[in-house]
Amino acid sequence: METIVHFFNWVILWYMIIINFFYVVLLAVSIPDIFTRHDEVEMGGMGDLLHSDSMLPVTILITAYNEELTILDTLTSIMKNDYPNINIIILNDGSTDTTMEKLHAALKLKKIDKIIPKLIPTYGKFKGYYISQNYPNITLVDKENSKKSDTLNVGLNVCRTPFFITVDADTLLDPDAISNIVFYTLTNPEPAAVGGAIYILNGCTYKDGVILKKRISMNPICALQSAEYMRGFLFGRAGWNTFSGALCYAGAFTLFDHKAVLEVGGFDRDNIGQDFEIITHLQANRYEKKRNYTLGYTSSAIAWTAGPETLKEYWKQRTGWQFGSMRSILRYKRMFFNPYYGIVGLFSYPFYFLAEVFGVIVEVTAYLSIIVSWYFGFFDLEFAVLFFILCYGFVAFITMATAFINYTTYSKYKRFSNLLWVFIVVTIECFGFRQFVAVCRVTASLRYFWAWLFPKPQPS
Amino acid sequence: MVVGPLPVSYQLAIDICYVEFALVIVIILSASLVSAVRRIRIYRDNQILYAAKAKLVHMNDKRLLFNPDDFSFYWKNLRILLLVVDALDARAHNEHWISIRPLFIKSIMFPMAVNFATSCRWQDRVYAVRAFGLLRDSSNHRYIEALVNDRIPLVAIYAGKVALLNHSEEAIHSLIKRIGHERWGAQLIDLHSFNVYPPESKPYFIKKLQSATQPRIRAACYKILARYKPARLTWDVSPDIFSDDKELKIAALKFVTHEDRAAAIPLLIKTLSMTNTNQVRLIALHCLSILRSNEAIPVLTECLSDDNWWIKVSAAEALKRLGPKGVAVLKVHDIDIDAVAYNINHILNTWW
Repeated sequence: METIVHFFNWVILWYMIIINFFYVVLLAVSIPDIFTRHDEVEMGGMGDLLHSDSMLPVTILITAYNEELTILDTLTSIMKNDYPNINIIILNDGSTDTTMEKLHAALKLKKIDKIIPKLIPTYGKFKGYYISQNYPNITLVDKENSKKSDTLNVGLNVCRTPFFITVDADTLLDPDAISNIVFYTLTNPEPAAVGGAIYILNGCTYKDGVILKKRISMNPICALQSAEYMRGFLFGRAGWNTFSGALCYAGAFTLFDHKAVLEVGGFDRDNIGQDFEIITHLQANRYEKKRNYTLGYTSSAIAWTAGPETLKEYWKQRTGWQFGSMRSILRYKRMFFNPYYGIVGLFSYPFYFLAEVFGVIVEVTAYLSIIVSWYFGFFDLEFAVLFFILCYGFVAFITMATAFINYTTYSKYKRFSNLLWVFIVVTIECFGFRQFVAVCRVTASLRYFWAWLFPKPQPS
Repeated sequence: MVVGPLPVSYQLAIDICYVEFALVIVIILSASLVSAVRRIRIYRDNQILYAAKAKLVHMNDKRLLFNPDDFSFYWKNLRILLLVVDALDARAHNEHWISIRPLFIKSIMFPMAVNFATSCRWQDRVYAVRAFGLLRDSSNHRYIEALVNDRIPLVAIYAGKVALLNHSEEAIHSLIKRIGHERWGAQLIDLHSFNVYPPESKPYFIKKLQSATQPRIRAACYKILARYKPARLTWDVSPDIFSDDKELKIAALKFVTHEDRAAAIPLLIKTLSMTNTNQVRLIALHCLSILRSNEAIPVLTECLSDDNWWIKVSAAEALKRLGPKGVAVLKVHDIDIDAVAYNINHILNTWW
């Protein structure tokens, strides 16, 4: 027993070391990308071009399910963007609150007859198509409730522009967010998807879709999410952008090439993590169908989204994400260390598979190892300390690094006290919160495997 | 609890741990250094901008002749000089700036632009092409032609505009050829940038259309011409409308609808009668619904009996848009087609 436990300890330790090594590489390559994106529009003096009529129109797809509190702010923030040619399609996913009433009042909606082609099959029943009499570039599609991915597919069928941007109904955009994300398409040929950076809105003061003060929330759960999002978007995705190897962009703010998404059949209807799945699918399709498109990310296109404020809401969100991640990653397991898929198959997919999705299982295994060791009286203190440093200490260190980089570049949180607060929360994150997240995600993983082994019959 | 000398593997793990932490510290320090260097560079650039602008403003206000040797080497930064020229152009024009401007651009900016035109950085190529756009100079045409075919869309967009401003025929032809071979999003990006092209550039595309034989190039010309303000059609479009190439047919149909209504209606009617390709027929129906001509009623009525559902619906929509005369046709026709025109929801319920 002792030998087995020591063997597990050894494997876990080296697993952590290798993963941390990849994090160091990602951090190193993310920095030039961040600095490049930060000032390429300003330094290039291309603001006039981006604000002129020569920019082609993009469609913003906003999916809304019971978003009465935030939908108008989201709409206002999009309309206040400095990009000239925007078409907005609001997709009401069968809201049962006053979302439709609020939209009717604000937009003076008028129902019209319109036939929408079924480029992608959808199953949510269509209820009506509305145009705004106040704003000619805003339309609304009303339908019965189906999942978000199905609603997005309806948006795909309605969209008539070569690019569309998915935005959540509780997300506010920076005034130059759309310009910056479209700018990426002008400087990188044939992008199939461009991800934007997401920050946490909780703690910020905003009015009429404009964020007046950007602060990290004093709620530790929100503050930890702010740190996590900074880590994920300022170093994770920026790092993978160098290799065009990212497998996940935020569904809250990502630009897609319409035709590329249609080619892969749209968003996965049965997947709650449709943002993860679509990017992975596009990556797989790139190699399988020998397409020349790229998948990019720009840290200068910034959106702010609300995060859960209680542990219960957080658990629910992360369970859903883990479910979606598992489904997305296992669907394309053919890419695992497969050289046919280039750098994605050899590096990004294995990394996502082993570190992002299944890393939590390794983490929980380490806890179990410690508990078993303690119970049987051969507790390995050195291993426990080393594991703690490698697993938590290193991640906290990386998070502090990205917070510091954010402070020196985009400076979204201008006050130094915000930076200090981030440093404090990532330190105390290791004592309880990380373990909570690990248990949440492992529970979701086990539920996923249980559902996979014993599937429930699905209604047609 | 096991306490004692550390196993070799643990010692190695600790050493690697130190290295990883040290690497992160190095990265943070590097980032700080880069950030500091950037801030210094921005400060320096602002100083250069201020000094160069002040020099030229002084020269302009005092009516002094421009001497390239007086212009400090330190100020020779193409990106900044573009801002300086923009600022001076935006000031109240006087004859003196108009007289020294060409010499300044030719002697100071163009040599830098020629170097930047072949740079591996796309930003430098954008600055180069913008510099070429400041002054018409035939010696730059070959650089502009190369930049029109740049793989970075932004560079190509700027180069296309400059090609038109410079009246560089070879570059314009390269531009048309490139657009002709692009697909979907890339092509639309380029086409949309024509929204702000000067109207006097239209003859170049008409000239290219008259000489080009490849269907894709001809289609690209039609697509570009459809972006300009409509004028009376001065050539026969029907050979292209009735050609074998689907893309060319569609581009020509859309162009003639945009350009000359009187000429378009008979051509669209004839297309509906003679063409079998549903996609082309749908475009023709869509164009007829925009033009709203009663002359199209007979052919639209015929389309109501088509086998293809989309043709029927599009014809019904076109009739509906004609007003009372078109609606009257729908009223006497098959009740199902009336349902399409009057109550689209009925169709949607059965369709979905």
